[in-house]
Amino acid sequence: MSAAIGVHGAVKAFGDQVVIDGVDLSLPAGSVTVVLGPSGSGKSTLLRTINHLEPLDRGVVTVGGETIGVRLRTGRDGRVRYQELPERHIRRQRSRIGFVFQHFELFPHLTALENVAEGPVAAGVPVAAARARAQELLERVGLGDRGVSRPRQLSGGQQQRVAIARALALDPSVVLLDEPTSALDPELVGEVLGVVRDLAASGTTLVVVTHEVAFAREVADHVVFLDHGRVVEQGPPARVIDAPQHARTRDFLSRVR
Amino acid sequence: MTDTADVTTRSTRRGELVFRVVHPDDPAAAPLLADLEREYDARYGDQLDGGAAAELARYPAEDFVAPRGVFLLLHEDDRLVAGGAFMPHDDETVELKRIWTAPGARGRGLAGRVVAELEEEARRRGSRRVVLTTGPRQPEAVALYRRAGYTPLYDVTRPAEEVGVHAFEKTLAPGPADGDRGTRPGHPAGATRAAEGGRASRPVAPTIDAAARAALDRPVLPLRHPVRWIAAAVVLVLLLNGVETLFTNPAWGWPAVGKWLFSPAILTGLQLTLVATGLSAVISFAGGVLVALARLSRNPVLSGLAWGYVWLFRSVPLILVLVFLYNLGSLYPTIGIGVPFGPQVTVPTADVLGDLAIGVLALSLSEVAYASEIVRAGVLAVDHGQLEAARALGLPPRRQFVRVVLPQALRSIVPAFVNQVVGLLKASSLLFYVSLLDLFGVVQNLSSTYPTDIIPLLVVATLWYLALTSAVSVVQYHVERWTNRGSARSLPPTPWQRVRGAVRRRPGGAGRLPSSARGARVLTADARSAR
Repeated sequence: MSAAIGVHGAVKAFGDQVVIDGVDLSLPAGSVTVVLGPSGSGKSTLLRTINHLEPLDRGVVTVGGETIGVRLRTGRDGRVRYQELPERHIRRQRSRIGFVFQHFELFPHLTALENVAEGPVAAGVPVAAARARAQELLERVGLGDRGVSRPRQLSGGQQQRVAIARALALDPSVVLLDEPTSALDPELVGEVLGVVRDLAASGTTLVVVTHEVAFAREVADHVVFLDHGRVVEQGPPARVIDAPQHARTRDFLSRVR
Repeated sequence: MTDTADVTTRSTRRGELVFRVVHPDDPAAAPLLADLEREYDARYGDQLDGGAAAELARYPAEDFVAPRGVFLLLHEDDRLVAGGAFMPHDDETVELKRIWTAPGARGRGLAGRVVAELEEEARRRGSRRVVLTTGPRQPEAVALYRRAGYTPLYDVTRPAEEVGVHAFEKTLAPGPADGDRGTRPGHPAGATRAAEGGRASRPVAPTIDAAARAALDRPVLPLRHPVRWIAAAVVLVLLLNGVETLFTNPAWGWPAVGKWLFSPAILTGLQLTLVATGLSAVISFAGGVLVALARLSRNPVLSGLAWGYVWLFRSVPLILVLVFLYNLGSLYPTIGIGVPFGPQVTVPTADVLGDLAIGVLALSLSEVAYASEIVRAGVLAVDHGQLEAARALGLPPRRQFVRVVLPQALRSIVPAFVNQVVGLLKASSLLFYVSLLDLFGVVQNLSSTYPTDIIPLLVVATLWYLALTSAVSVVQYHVERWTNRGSARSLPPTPWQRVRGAVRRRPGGAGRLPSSARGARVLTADARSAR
């Protein structure tokens, strides 16, 4: 399998605080990767660099072989550097990467259907076709009858399912989920994880930041444990979760379980 | 429908108070939880890790459902006014949670009723103690619990912030509802049993006599407020005195008011006021959006210029701008555009700027400065996550603003901007100083021609300004309903819908309620038949 997502020498700092400190990852197409780590370890930031919501200070992210948000340029001094792409190129790249936020971030003034159709309409898909596709996606996440509801009229779990449908609307090859269940009441977590499970089974490349260790063990092909912006340990869940090699991984797992 | 069976009703002078037991996930409880979350975030946002939502999600819903706990809502007519819950603490103790009163219903002792009802329920379930905690920034909650007979479990002499969590407890006296335990107060047999049961150390239940017991099933009478009535009467008498002079004092000149109100001269002035205000309002909104965007732009030249513009026109009085523009012709006899120090296209100033154009321009120039600050504040109030979501979807910048940010910003922009428009309406009376005859200008002119009609003419102007401002308020109300469409689960009825509902309700009685009220009424009826 070719690498769908590659992270190469990624470094990112906010002021003096280095949050991503030299991360290299290679995630094959169709794989499901779960990123674990204590809070403040840089999990969310790493995820956000993949669709260029956070630009990297150094290093580069590739999705489907294409560098995201930057391109190589040869300067006058003969050295090659990465340079930021114009906004419209980044926009095109983002439309192929779905992103699901911890706090859903649905547009409250639009209905569920309009939320899902918004991306395609903005990308130039005719409104009728975008709405038909949005209806299909809402049905796929079990909310076919809630298209006219506004986000405030839906439960947290329903909102997150609409947000997942919205992320799928442009048929992305990669979907990134940033703690999709952390803002939910415990009894609503299951319905969202169910949708993510179906998505994993459909062959979409997924990267999920989560604290649901049981879910990681069941669904992930690959688990990455991050601490202080570095990859401490990675591998199949059977190794990283059930037989962690590193003391920090063991320590973290004993606290979340 | 097990939820609806458990309802107790009590009438008050304002309306019918109905207690309902619900599941914590019942949509009916959602406003309570949402408001609690907002309230906690507002008071403890700096301390709560993960926000109030995480705090409210700490206990599973089952803890608030019988037999473990209970979740109560108090409705007044169809409106949710208060609520609360308890969950198990230990075998004979429950812990109160979620005590809440709707913002509009505070200060009426409703929370106290909820606490009393919860204690009653706890007693029925066999609990003998109630505990609860509240926080240092809820002095009203602390006052409520002390009033309700709770004992503070902290040092009351220390400052609230130092105490941190404020814990309380209260021992429940076994009440009349404690029937299933066999401890009936006032019955010697029950008392003996209580003593045998090892409860001798507990406080003895207060006994109530037969007469008091008979009152238990009757509605509690509300307290009378005679002082309120006296104060209202005094104010009304004073007001009527003033109103009387409107009719008895001939100097008001009501026939003259009637004569002038729709006279062509006044209507011409009114038209000018409307045109100048309307044009300036539209220009200032559009200009305000542009200047706000420039101010928020990452381009330092644009944002610097926008800041300078706002600084200049907020500092200079409107009348100065007006008179300045009026004399622009003597400062720049011709105006034009072209390459600096290169070829120019010029025209005489007076040809471009007529009197009305000068007036509208001056009003707009200063209004744009205020409007831009209003728009900027509105845009900044939209959650940053919304913009990120729009970017993650690949929306172009213009669509991010027009489709996602602006509609949400309008919620806070509209009330402030309408306020500006009302100010603008009145500020347009300054146009009189640059020889434009707006409503006020016409009145001024007519007063010097008809000096005996000065008072009636001023009344005419007052009436028209009142009418215009009222019209603006009506428009505002409906625009706000529209901009709020995503922020509430359902919109309250408009005054007009309320009037229609009331009219429809009157002739047919309970059988002809508007559909929105029907569900809740049936609920109350169920409750009555259940008792």
